[in-house]
Amino acid sequence: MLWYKAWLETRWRMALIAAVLAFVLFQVATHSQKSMDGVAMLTSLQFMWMIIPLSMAGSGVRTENPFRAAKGIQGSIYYTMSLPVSRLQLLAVRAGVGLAETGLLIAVGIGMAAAAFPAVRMIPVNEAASYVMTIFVCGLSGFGISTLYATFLDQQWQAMASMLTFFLARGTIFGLDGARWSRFDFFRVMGEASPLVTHGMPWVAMGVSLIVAAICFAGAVKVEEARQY
Amino acid sequence: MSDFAIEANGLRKSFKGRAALDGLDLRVPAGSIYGFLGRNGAGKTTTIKVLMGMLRADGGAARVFGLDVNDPQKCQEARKRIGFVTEGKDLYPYMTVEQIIRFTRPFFPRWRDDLERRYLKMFDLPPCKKVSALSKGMQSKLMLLLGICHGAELLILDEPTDGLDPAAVEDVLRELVAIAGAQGTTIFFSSHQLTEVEQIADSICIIDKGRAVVAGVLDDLKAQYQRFRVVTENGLPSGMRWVSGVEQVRQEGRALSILASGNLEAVTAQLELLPGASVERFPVGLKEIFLEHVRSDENALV
Repeated sequence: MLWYKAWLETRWRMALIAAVLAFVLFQVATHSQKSMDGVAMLTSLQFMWMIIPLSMAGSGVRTENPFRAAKGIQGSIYYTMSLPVSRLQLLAVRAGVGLAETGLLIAVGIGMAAAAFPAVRMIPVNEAASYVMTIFVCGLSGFGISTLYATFLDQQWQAMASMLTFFLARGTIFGLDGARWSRFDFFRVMGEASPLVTHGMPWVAMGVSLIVAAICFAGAVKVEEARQY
Repeated sequence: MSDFAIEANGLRKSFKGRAALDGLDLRVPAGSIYGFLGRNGAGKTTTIKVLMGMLRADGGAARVFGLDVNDPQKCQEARKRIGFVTEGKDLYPYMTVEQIIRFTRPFFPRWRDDLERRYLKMFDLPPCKKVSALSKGMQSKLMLLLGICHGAELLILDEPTDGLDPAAVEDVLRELVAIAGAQGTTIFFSSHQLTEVEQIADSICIIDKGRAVVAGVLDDLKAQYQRFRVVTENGLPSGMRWVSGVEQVRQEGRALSILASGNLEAVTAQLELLPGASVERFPVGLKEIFLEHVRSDENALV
């Protein structure tokens, strides 16, 4: 039933992100050149693909009543905490639902792009699948950062702080010596170095993303277990 | 198996250097209705949060059904047997009454469908209405329903009648007594309403500044405490040393008002020795016992 509760709590956020995604696709469709090919179209959405996981993460219970928590009113958190479930379970369920919604939004985004741009439909299915997998796995780093922030920041700051952290850290680390570190850059492989362009899986970048996500999740678990309500 | 549903020894908890619990000792007998009293900020809610595993104690030990609540796994085990009503009575505003019951039920294998039907009817709770659309009183009733229908062995209720109208308060109190009587459920409830506590509690603990200042069976405490009214010829002799048991002495002219918490015969004998004294004894209620222990009286001589 925790899954059901997490879904009820996050469905409007998911709908909002889906609406933003549709708006961005509409803008690209309206303003891009007619000759834009499918690969260029999908990779131009690089920022959007990363904003989805950054926005869909949430912690176990802290974000249950985000606006009231900001005022020091914990609200229904106490009811949740009185249930015979561990904090780890609460965190895992919220992360699981967030990840499922992230996957669904990426799939919906690719589907909408394919519907709006005939050129996207020309991309071979196996390459499209590789691209979706790359987006999802590399998005896990952002999801992890956002999950970690959600354990101690209110929801209205969480998405903003995680986006700032992600893009600043990525720009700093990979911007210093782009050529040297480029194969580790898990954001670059959503765009100019994606499997749609290179025709190969970016395993190294995906691995780096998984490591970043694992560190952030471990941090989130530690914070959640230590938290007092 | 312990005779106590809740046991706490020397429980300590501080927030930013300020002690909320300062060596609290607590023994809640299994099957009792236990009133937990104290002023605002005395440490009642902090105690409850420690018992529920929401806060971790800085020192001391607390056990529920013999399970150490500072151990997250054991506390989770204990929570399976606890029905909880929070102080704010906040539930998920986006769920309907029916949804929140459906959500809660699977966590508790001993869920009582018969009680659920009974309380839905008794509290007049509309199953299809959202929690956010319920009045504060109705939310309190819904939370009580969720707590009671667990089939819990222990009900921890933080200000359970807060926000209820007088008729609903009576309904709730009557049901709590019925549950304790029929199912042997231990009821541990904090309250500011001394009349409610006096009405249903068989044992109480008064907490002040994070410490238990009085604890015991309510009838015993009431028998133990007496107020003496004394009129003397010349008031009190200077430097008078009181026998043990005298808790508070107030003087207005030649009239003395004395509250004693025991050793009553010795107190009576001492008072009767005062020149020209006429001594009367009166039973005291919970309110007087409470006020004596939590309120500093500037006019008191002792």
